[in-house]
Amino acid sequence: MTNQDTGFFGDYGGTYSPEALMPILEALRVAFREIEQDPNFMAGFLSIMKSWGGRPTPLYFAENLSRDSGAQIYLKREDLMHGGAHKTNNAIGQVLLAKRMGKTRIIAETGAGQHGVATAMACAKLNMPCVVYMGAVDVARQAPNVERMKLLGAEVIAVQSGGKTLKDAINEALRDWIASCETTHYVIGTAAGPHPFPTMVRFLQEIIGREARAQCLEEIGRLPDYALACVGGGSNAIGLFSGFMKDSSVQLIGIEPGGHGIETDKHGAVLCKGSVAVLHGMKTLGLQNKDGQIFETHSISAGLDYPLIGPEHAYLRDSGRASYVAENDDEAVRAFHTLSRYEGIIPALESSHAVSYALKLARQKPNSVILVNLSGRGDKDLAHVKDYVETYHVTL
Amino acid sequence: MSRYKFIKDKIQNGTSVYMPYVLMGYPDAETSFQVAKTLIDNGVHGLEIGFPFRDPVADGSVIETAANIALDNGFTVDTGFSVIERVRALSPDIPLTLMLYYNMVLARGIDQFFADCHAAGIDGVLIPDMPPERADTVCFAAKHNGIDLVFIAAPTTTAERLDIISRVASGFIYVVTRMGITGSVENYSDQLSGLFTLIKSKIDLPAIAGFGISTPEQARKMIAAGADGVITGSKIVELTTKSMDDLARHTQDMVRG
Repeated sequence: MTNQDTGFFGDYGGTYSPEALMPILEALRVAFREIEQDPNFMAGFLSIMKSWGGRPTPLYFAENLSRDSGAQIYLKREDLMHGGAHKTNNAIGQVLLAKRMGKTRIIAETGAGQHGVATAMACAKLNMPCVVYMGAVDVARQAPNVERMKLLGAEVIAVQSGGKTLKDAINEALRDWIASCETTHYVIGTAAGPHPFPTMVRFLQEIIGREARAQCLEEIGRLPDYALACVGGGSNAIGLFSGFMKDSSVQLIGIEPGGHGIETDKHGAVLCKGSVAVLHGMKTLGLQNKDGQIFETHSISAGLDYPLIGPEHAYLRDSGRASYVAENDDEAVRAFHTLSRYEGIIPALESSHAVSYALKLARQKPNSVILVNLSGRGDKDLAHVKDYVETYHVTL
Repeated sequence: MSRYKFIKDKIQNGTSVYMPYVLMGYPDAETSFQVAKTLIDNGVHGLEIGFPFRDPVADGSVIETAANIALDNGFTVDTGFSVIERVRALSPDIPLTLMLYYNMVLARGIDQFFADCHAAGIDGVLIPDMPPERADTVCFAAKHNGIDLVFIAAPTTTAERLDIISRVASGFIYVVTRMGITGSVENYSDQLSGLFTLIKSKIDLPAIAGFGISTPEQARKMIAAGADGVITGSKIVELTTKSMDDLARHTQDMVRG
């Protein structure tokens, strides 16, 4: 590839990183473009995905959930993937790439802990030392995942700066990487960051959309009218959307964390409310004040608690190919319970945002086929949801 | 005439220049002005002036903590520019280099930002998360307002990248002397003199060493390795809340070299 490979999606993306990282990002770009074309790499990746990761994940017709509305709601069951979320696709892919590049150490950031767990699992399987940065607030609200990471052999560092959530964990991981980049690979967990990360993470998550499209054609006999996914940084959504990008009949909808409501200052709805920002190595949208200080966001779901967005989503919004809405904390918690009781599936709080919007959409469009990416399972969220329901007296 | 000529002349006369870093608004606007005044009164050859940012990924924990305190105490970009105007009034000669993150430039509007720099008496701007490949977005506004763009070279920077940097850099080159973040752990890269030789073969600007320097001994090592001068940052932040007398003594020691 030439110097034209700058990682821009329209005006978004690119590389905005300290000089110390620039040569390392260039080496990563070259290595990524190699594996992209290398059938041996893909064969190795897919083999691990199958026998160790449990792919392909099923497409499931949520019959009980669909019954009242008349619409047909299908779930792409990424919650059944090894580790309990789609994050495993990206983690295995990047750790394989890091080994190929001769790196000897892996670092990662994590919000809900799913990406940290996925990276810790990948490192255990592929025999690499692993350090995970996690905001101290998230360490407290996602305790089971912290225990899982430690069990898998990772070192978990609780980040005490700023709002002590995902943004701060990324800042700290970037600092580590600036100091250690000659030996260390930073496995960014979402389709964000400097080039080539947004493109590389999408490449590794495209497996979701590729499988889902084929399953829709085979099992439903048609494409869905809507493809829905929750959006924090945007990796599960971009993975799903990529499968349907060229199918203009399929409406792509991303669901953002509405927190206490997007009219308040306690939410994380970047695509609904953000403005152009540069941070974490990319030009994208962000929630910020007039001086360009990035806000701390709020969501009940740690995995969506991020004040920026993967740059390709900003581009898809502006181009009109995808649209983005927000569901608030209460709505996500209700959907968490609804899916559990109707289908016997406990969704991650992140995915519950998409389920909630699917239920609304099903009522508005009773004859439609709605595909929801169920990006993760919700066992990790049980204690947090119980506290929330009691504190805020949520009517279920 | 660019005020960076002031340091160029010093260097030509055999003086190693000292250009410490002051974080605006830390712990409050008035104290940061007093810090700048103390540094100037004690003979520094230039100042690097930082604007606090909540997410300073190219800085270490000392500056991050201080930046958060400054912002919690009400720092705004407007405050920052008004303090700089007062600092400029203290010395007509020394170059003032503003260091801040790209998002703050973007949020103010690129044209407005560089016009404000010019009005406040800034000579150069260093944006640590804007690589030279992205400088096209600010070059015109900077030039229009007579502001130099200062860039960083790091131990990982290749000869090829120095060519890219040389096309857009002016003022001086900020040489990151070890991988990692600003702070004071003593762990200098062995290949430093090679780095300075390479930079000087490619770029005809003063090469000023920063990151991880806090004592005259460390500064002397940098000069011996080929640096034309040094910047200290975290050390100034640490001394700010101790006493202005300590800060004055430290400055005299550093200026003496």
